[in-house]
Amino acid sequence: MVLVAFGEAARREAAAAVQTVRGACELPVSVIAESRVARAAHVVCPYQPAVPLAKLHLDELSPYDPTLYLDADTRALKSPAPLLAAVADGFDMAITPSHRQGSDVLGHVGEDEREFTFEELGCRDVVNLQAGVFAFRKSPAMLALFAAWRAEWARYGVQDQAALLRALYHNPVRLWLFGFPFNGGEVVAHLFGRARR
Amino acid sequence: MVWVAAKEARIVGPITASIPQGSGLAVAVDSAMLRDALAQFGLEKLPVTAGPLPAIPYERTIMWDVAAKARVELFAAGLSFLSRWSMAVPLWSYDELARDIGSEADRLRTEAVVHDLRAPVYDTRLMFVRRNAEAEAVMQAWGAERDGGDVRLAFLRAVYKVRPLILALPTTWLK
Repeated sequence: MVLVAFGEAARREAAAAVQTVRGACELPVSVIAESRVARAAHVVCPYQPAVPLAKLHLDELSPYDPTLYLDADTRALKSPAPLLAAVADGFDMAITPSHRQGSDVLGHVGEDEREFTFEELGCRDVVNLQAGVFAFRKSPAMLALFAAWRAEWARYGVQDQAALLRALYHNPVRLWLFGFPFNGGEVVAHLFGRARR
Repeated sequence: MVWVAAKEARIVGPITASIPQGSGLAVAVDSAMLRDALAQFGLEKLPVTAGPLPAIPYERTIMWDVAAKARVELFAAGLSFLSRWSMAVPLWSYDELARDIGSEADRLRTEAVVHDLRAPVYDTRLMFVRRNAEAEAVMQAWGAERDGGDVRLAFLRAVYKVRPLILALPTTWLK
């Protein structure tokens, strides 16, 4: 399992997240950070800005395959290992929809990027995915998706979520969806935004 | 319009896509009402095949249970997704998951395949399907899994077994 923590708030949140992970499952945990976070292995990020580029380079920086990624402001209330099981069974990626759907799809993304994304996808009625919790394996399709995700993020350089949708549209992967319990629910709670405060 | 004039807002136009070559609609029963619904959105020339479903009679097939109200204006977009994906299917719900539907026996059978029922299911009343080996494998697996239980759970089992390139569409594709 990998988390990313840059900045004081993110380190504090990641430490709390790691503690819950340790209580919920026996997965090895690494944190990509400036310095070591307690109870986790340390991974250095050579990219700047480290947020979000550490996450967008997980295919390269994660020591695990498959990898389970959690945002620093998540808390494992139960084992999130089922996400990994789907990937181990052959899916490239396991992820959950975002709580922002319908008229609120990409509502937190700037208008220019949001409209550009809808144009790229050819449609406004798309499923918004929440990239704060996901599992993946380092398959050729997934490596292509990560490369495209980085390229799409570089267009605007702000949010990574719309960039993921654009990248996914052009680079399909075998995707298994989990429900809200795995991101903002009974398995993984998500204290959105706390890592930035 | 005052907001637009003040550049505090802008009018967002419709995103339009054209129907790709080789596209068509598969329904159980053709009807004048269906043709009217297609014509209303300029799709009167879309070929229609009536017969037992599931079926993939076209290179890009829309399978539609016309008892469900679909947003016909999105059909072109759905077909365009098939340039890269094998299937595109709306989700049934974001909150009602596999663990919440079907009989207990059906859920146990599904859990044995997908391992964890805290997963959304697809709304199989509307499907965009590319005619290729993996989509045909999904349809075959779905047929084998359909034995009187919940068709959505049967489809979920088929998807897990075949692992196609399936794009989840929002619940809003069906009214």
